[in-house]
Amino acid sequence: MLTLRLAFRNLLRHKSRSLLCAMSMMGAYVLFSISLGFSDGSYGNLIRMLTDTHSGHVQIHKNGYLERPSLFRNFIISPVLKKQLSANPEIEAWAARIFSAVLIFRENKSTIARLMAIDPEQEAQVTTMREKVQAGKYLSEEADVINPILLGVHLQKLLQAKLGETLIFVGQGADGSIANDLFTVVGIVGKSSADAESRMIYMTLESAQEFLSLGGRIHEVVLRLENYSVARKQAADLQEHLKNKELDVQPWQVVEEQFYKAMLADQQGNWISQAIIMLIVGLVVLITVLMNSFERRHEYGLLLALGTPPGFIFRSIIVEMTLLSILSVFVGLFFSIGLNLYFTLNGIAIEPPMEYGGVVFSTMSSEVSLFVLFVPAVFTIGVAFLVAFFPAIKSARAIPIEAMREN
Amino acid sequence: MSETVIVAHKLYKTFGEGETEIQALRNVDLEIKRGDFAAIVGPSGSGKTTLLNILCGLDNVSSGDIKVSGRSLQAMSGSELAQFRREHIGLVFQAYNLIPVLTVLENIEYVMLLQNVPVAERKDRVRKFLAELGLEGKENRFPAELSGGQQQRVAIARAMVSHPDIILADEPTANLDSETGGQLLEMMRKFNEELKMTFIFSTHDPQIMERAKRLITLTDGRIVTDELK
Repeated sequence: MLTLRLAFRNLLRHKSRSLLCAMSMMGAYVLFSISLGFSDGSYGNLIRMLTDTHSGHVQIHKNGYLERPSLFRNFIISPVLKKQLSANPEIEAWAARIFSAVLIFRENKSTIARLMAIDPEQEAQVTTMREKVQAGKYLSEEADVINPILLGVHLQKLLQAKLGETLIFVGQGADGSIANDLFTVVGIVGKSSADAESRMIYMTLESAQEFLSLGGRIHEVVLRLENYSVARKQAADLQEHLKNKELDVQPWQVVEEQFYKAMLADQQGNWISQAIIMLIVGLVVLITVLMNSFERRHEYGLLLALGTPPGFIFRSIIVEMTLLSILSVFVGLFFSIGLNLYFTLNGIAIEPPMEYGGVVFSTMSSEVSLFVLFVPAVFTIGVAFLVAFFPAIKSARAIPIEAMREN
Repeated sequence: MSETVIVAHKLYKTFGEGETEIQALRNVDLEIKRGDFAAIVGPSGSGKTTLLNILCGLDNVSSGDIKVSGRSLQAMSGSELAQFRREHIGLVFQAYNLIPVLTVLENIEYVMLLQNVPVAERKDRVRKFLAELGLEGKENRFPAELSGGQQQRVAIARAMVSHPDIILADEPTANLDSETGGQLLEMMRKFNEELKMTFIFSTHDPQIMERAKRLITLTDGRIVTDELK
């Protein structure tokens, strides 16, 4: 209690110096917190954009499909699996997909393209597929058209195809036959050739299963979860509950491994800049504590002369700096929450937008979470605590008579 | 016969070295008995303050032996010396040396807090001293809000309230007017007689010399006279 009292009164003794030191610590805390907020917010946005536009949060495939995709690595969604997926409260929606490659012909033009077959309504619940349509209609909105397709904008330009036109598709059937059929363009997807979907063909699951002779088989089930951060756990739980050794359940971190690794590497880089912020705080605290202890050497000598245990002096200096850092963090918390909230709602536009792992990134926004507020607090208080050690030891070990001769 | 509380034998203290070497104490032998009210007198630079600092373990001797309350000060570490001072010695400084961030009450009870004296006893002793020293009503003031005389009273109360064996006072009246100095000396003399506390002063003040029961004269670091009055 006496230690705390002394520490608190010593802080009030040199108000301007304490205020300066507190402001440095508060500034570092807020800066660190915003930096973490932006880091988390930006990565969160990236992850959401990636999972919303294509990958979903968890995917189910036949074993080996992720490593080597093949037309023949397919499976049937059993009624038991459908029931499991629909009954799981963590799963918001799920959709089945088929993938293949096809040759497309239009008059004297031809090209190769990647085909993705979807259940239009289910897919729209999992990804932003419906919003990708830039012209024409979505697959489910053209009930009267036989074999409707959505054509990527890059392919459309290449083939010079128009809405309503019929294209010839040739591919490989799952039964070994040559697949061929006519498909009608009902919509155009993608804004420019840079978009991932601009080189894709989208059709319904039924059309693809007939065209590729797949029967009721599919290649992928994609799941949308309530919370993407629990994807790993959900994938592991689902894998355990499926009790089907032929199926492989993986979270988005594995499905989009390259993107995930690039993101982790980038995060490491951010920690370096945050460490520099902390180093600066450490130096400011060190200078302040050194100034205080130098100025109070006479007093420490007096305390020792009166019989104060050296440990008490050590503790009072540590408590003083820790107290100041806690107060600084407490005040900084309000600024931190306010600024992070502001940047969460408004964000900062990136001009020109940058592409990261195939996802176009146009806004940097922050995120407010316990992590963003708590980690910088622990670091700031921890740095103040550690940095105060050296001056505290020095003061506690002062020779009373020598210290009292100073000042 | 009174118990000996301080025994100093062949004390030497040297500051600096070579051409700047100063012999502050030379061959000092001294015995202080419980209940002594002794004044160490002598001109400036004679070694009075150095001797006091050595007697309480604030400074080391260059050579010689010193025992206080039966314990050799040279054998103690820094923290042991701090503990020893806390338990056996009360210090009064010329420049008061109160802790500026503590109130009058907190300054007086500071040593008792370190000694873990129970709250009730602590408060009781502080109250008695405040009354005795005429500091009632000033308990919650900070040192900067007090006059020099009041600050020195607080410093004396701080030194005595924990009932140490020995009080060492370095020119306690130097910064006070003669009336205030006289009052404080009377009070210390009273404590000396009532509680048998041992007082050792270093001083130039004739008032202290007049009231002291024993006068030890130092010249150039040597005890030249040691007389009982």
